[in-house]
Amino acid sequence: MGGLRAAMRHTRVAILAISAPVHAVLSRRADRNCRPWTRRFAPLTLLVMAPLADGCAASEGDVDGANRSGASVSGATTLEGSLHVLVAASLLPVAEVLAGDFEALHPGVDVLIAGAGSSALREQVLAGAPADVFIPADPSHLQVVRQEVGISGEPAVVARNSLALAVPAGNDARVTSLADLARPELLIGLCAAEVPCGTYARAGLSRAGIEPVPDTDEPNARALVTKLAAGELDAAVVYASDASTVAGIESLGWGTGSAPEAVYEAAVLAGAPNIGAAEAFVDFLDSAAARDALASHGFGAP
Amino acid sequence: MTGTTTSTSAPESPRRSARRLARDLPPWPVALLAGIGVVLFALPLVGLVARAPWTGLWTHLSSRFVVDAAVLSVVSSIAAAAVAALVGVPLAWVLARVSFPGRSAIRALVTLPMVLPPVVGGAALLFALGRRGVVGGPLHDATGLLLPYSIWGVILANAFVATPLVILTVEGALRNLDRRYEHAAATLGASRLRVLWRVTLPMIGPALGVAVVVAWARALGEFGATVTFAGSLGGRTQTLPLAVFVALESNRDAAVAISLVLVALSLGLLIALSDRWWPSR
Repeated sequence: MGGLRAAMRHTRVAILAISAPVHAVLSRRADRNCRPWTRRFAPLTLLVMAPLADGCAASEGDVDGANRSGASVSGATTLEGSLHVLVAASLLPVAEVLAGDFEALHPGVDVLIAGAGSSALREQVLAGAPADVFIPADPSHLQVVRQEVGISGEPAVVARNSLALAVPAGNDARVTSLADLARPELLIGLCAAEVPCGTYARAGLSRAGIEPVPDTDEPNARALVTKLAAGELDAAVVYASDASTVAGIESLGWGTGSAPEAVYEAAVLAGAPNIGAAEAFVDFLDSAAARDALASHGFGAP
Repeated sequence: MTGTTTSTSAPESPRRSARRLARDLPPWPVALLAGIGVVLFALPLVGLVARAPWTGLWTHLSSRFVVDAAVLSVVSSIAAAAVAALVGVPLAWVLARVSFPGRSAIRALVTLPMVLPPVVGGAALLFALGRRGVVGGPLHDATGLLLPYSIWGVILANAFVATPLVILTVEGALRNLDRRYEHAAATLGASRLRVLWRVTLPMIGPALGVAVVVAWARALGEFGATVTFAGSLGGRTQTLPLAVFVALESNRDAAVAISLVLVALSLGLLIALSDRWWPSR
């Protein structure tokens, strides 16, 4: 159902130019989608497609169980079109790799990754950004989206991360522990309290009894790592994935007690324009290949 | 000095006919597209006004982080406009009056921040003037001065994006200036500096005023270069646009309230200025 809607949305544009392949695609999709007669009367569907597509979507839009069964066979069928994936800024480096791997498996799909602070992405989704998959660094953002926009199926944990104290290569300021974050003479960076890396960091620091004196509250994890790697900060609390993989910074771990943990949950958004590819992508994130890529970028297994 | 043989072909007649045309009704495609243009720009304002938390407006605007950000914004944008005028006017004068090889390249260079993504400008500033920067490094070692994470960084980032507006506006005014007045003053024995101060600057005064105010408004709204170069810390480097960005994700009502103030301020300013740009008489 969703797949048909997505296919139609994409083909609607190209219909006049390439009507023959469109017939083929439609008839293949009709096997598992919506209404069987669309296959038999493929030429007709071209004429009446728009209204039917909408009706189809409206009548069977939100049945999670049915969506899941569609996803299970999606590996065997041809997925296509563009897939918009919104990822937490900390996932950005590995997301590009995962997108490439997924595109290699499904040559017809063009994965478009948008990375930003999870809360900024959440606002984009709430404002109606046409996205398919949302992977914030804090499940609470997914909960808000689930309540206000809706998601298809259940969110799946795809990766874990922790936070670490990090310094620029060389550690000129001789930072040794979290306690140094309270030294006013050092240049200290944190993520803003509104984004997950800032929320996690502050919670962890307050548990450790440390009152940091930041010189900047960066709007997302990547911006913070960039400033740290440029040597423009003496120390920062960043994701362990970044601390261990980004050139130019060194991880000092967390030190005292257990480090704050970040959980990445992926979900297909209810109004996903390309729901078939979206479900396949979320399934792919659970594959061995995806887990290897995540692990090599410093993320923990779900 | 020089026998000025400026061929001033009387501008009256074309201007008059242009004025007559302006009173005419526009052809319908023009009217339609212009109407679409108005809607395009008005719609976001409607959205903002519709979303505005009118009842709690003052509570939002008087909250600590908004007041801090507002004070910082006002101070840093005025300082940035001053810097823009101080650097931009001489640059404009050189570009308008002095003919030298590579002038176009210099003009392109100094107006680049107008078209550059501000974030790129901020990153470039950081790599040049940050603690590990090409210039900032030695500067920091020698003096201990650190531009990022301070109000100086905010002012510099703001001036970086605002100065090109001064340069372009003032250069245009200088090129349109009737130079006979300057020549007359020089003939009467005024030094170059005196001519500049007593004749040129007063004559381009209105344009200069507009340029500085527009530069100020641009500095007030600056986001990308500021957050990239100066960071974002409440009370120190978090200006109003940065506060809006942060608040949008946690306190949307406050964000909308700040946005309304910024819009009202800028709109009022532009309306006040429009008479100077396009004299109605």
